[in-house]
Amino acid sequence: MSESGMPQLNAEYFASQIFWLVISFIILYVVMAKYALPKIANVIETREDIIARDIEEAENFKKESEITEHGYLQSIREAQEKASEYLSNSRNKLNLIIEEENSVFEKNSRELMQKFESELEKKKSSILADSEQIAYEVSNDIISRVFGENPLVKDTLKDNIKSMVKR
Amino acid sequence: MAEKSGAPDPMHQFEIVELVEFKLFDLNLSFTNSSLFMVFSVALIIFLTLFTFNGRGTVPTRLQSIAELSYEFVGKMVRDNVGDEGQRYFPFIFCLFMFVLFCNMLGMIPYTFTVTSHIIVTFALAIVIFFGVTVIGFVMHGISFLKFFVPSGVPKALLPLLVVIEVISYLTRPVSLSVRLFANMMAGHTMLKVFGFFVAGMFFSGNLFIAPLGVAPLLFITAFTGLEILVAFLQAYVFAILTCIYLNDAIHMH
Repeated sequence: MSESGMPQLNAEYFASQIFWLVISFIILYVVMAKYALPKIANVIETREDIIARDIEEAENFKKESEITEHGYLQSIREAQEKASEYLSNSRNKLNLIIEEENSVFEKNSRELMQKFESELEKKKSSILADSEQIAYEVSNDIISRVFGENPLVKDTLKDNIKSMVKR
Repeated sequence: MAEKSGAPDPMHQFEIVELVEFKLFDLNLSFTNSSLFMVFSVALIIFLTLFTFNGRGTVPTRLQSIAELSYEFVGKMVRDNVGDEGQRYFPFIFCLFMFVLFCNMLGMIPYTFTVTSHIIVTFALAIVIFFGVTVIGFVMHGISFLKFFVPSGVPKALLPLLVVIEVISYLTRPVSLSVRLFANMMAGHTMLKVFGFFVAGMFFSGNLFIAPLGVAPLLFITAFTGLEILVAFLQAYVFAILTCIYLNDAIHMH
C-alpha cells in the first residue's frame, strides 16, 4: 500500500497529523493551564506553608523546653545553695558550742591550777618555815652542847639560818 | 511493503495507519495511529497531573511526586532561562515538554507508534514556536526588535554580511529544532529495528554456528534501548529549553 522509503515524507497524512496535533495540544494546554498547573502550584505552596508552620511550631517548642530547662537548672542551683547554707550554719553552731565548752573547760582547769598552785605555795612556805625551825633547833642543840648556853651565840645563829634558808 | 525480497522493512514502524476515516472537504483528517498516540499521551499527562493527587496531604503519592517533579523541573527551566517575564509562558513550555516527552517515551514501548518520529509533527510544533516567539518579540519591542539581527560592536563594513547571517540563522531555527527531534527519534527507532531483525534473523537462521551469535545484537539492543530512553528524555528537554532560549531572545533581545 505504501511506496518504499520514508513514510514521514508521505504527504497524504500531513493534514491529519497537524489536525490531531492541534486538537490534542489545545486540549492539553487548556486542561493544564486552567486546572492542572494551578492545582499543582497550590498543592506545593500549601505543603510549603505546612512545613514552614511545623518548623515554626517546633522552634517554639524548642524555646519553651529551653526555658523549662533553664528553670530546672536554676532550681537545682538554688537547692544546692540552700544545702550549703544549711551545712555552714550548722557547722558554725557546732563550732560555737565547741568553743563554749572549750572555754568553760579552760576556765575550770585554770581555776583548779591556780588553786593547786596556791596550795602548793602555802605548803612550800610552811615546809620552809618548818625547816628553818628544825635547822635552828638542831644547830642550837649542837652549839649548846659544844659551847654551852650562850644567848649571844643563839641570836647570831638564828640570823644566819634565816639568811641561809632565804637563799 | 516487503513483497519483493521478503526482507523486513525497518521503516514499516513509521507508517501511518488509518483507524477511523474522516474527511473534511477534500482533506483527509482521518484518525490514525499517530492521532491515537497523541491523544493517548495527552490523556496520560492529564491523568498524571490531575488524578494522582491525594487530597491535600503533605506527603505526595508516587505519581503525584512525578507530576510535582516535572512541574518544578520545567518551572526552574523557565525561571533560569527566561526569568520572571517567562512565567506567562510557563504553561505552554510545560505542555510542550510533557507532550514531547510522553510521545517519545510511549514510542519506546514495542509495537507503539512514535508521534515525534514524523517531521510534520515536530515541524508543526517548531513553526508555532517560531511564529509565536517572533510575534512576542515584535509586541514587546516594536520595530526595534529588528535590532536583534544587528550584532553590536562589529565593523560597519561587515554589517551587511552579518545581518544576512543572523537572519538566516533565525529563519533556520524551526528547521533545526524540528529536524533535531525528528531525526533523533527516527534514527534511534530504525537502529533498534534493524538490530532486532539481526537478532531474529540469526536465531532462526537454522545455522548452528550463526544462531548463538545472535546474542551479540541482542545485548547491543538491550543497552541501546537504555540509551534511547535517555535520548527520548534528552530530546524533550532540548526541545523545551531551546524554546525557552528563543523566548528569552524575544523578550530580552541579547
